[in-house]
Amino acid sequence: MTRISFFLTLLFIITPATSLYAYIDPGLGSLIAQITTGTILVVVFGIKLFGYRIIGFLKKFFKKAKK
Amino acid sequence: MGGKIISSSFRDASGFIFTSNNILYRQINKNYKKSYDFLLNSGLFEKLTNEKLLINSEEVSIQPFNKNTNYKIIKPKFIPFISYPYEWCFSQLKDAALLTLKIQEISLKFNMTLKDSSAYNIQFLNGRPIFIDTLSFEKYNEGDPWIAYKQFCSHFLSPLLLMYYKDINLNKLLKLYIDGIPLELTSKLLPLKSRFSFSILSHIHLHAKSQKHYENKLSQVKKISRLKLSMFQLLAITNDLASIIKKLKWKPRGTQWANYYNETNYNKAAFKNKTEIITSLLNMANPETLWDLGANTGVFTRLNKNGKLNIAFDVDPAAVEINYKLAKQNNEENILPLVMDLTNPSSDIGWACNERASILKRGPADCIIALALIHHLSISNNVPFAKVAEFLKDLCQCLIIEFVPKEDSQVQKLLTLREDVFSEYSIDIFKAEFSVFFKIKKEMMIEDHNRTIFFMEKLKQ
Repeated sequence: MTRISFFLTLLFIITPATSLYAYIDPGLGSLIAQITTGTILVVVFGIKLFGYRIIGFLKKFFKKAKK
Repeated sequence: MGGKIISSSFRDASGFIFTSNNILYRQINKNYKKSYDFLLNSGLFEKLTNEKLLINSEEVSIQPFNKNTNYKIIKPKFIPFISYPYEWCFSQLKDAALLTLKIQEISLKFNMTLKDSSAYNIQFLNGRPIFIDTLSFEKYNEGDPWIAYKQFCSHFLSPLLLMYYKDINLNKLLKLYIDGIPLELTSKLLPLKSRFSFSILSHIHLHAKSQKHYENKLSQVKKISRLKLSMFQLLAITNDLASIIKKLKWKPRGTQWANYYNETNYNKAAFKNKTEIITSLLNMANPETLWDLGANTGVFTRLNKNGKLNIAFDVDPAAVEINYKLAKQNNEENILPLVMDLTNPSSDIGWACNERASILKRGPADCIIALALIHHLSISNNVPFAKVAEFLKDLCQCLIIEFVPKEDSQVQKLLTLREDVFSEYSIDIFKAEFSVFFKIKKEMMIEDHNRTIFFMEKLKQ
């Protein structure tokens, strides 16, 4: 279940967003930087958390592909 | 109605701080109604105030300052002394940063987020940082990025990294850049090795580059605004910021005054007698608020045990750092160490030169102690006694001051490479100049030493 949630989170990165009515100017460049950093951190965290599962999944996948 | 809006309280349309009959209130405007009600109903306000992370406040029924915009009036708990991030030592700024991130993390769990993360949202109360802006919270909408991310990086991360990697005094840049140190400047000043840390690379260097790159590219706004940020990503950013800040550990040494008490010319007997004199004078004056000028690590500040608030000012950030860590370790609630150069104390800055108050406007204290200080002001910095007295008279009701004679070994050190042009530096002239503004009530020579402690009361003018 958690593996599915992780991949869904990655898929939800680029979707229509609500408008921002900001009290302070977040800055376009800061917005980009935040999204980029947040994405990388999630991927890195995901790899750390699910690393062994990903490796196991990939091993099974390639075994099946060989057969 | 009668009353006055606080000069620094104008940037947030959600409300403002005002005083009425010398009591501080916060008006919450109608446009903040939804967010305020959500803050209360979600349980976030209770959670944060119970854990002493957010200043507590109560709703009151008084006449609003502005009826047309008013929704509610709240009375926040009183902060006895306002200090600013450019006056904080390293660990104070670090603790303030971590508090902001902790509040952001907790807020997200209650479906709220901080709409600003200014360092001026933090004050020190009972020796600990506390968030004071009740109007900083807004409802979190899934997908929205953290609006205050840029502000957090420039108000907190930038100065902390500069203090850690380059020079401990670089938080003073916050006096110059009132809305935080620009990331581009921070990126230029940080050493090359900072680029090998993913966190610093992303939050500062690439962040700065991204800001510069998208400066004039508003045409891309429609496309970019379709990008979403999940709560998971937001929490990842918050955790990463907290992680890098927690790893910054500055050791206070290597500055001029960090090792002061191992290098004074006091023997044990003289030091003991000085301590007894100061204790007896403080017991006599019994000040609620005490300012210790040139406090170093607060040895004498702490003699005012019954004081409600003892502020220990020193020019040396290492001494203030040691003092603050000691206060934290011992859970001392009535001491607030701050960095202050008395020859260039905090002045009015900000919008209309009236947004952040000078030190003169944040007093007076009941009592000031100025020990082993006068020779540094008058000889090292050429400030005549008359000027020192005139300055101090606006800051206190009574004064405990130590006169250090010219024959003292510490004064002789200051004159080693200088011509002695200080013909007016004598105890008689000192007494004469101070008597213009103060009445000398006691004069006590320290045993086994050549210094004299004076107790003076400000003359009523």
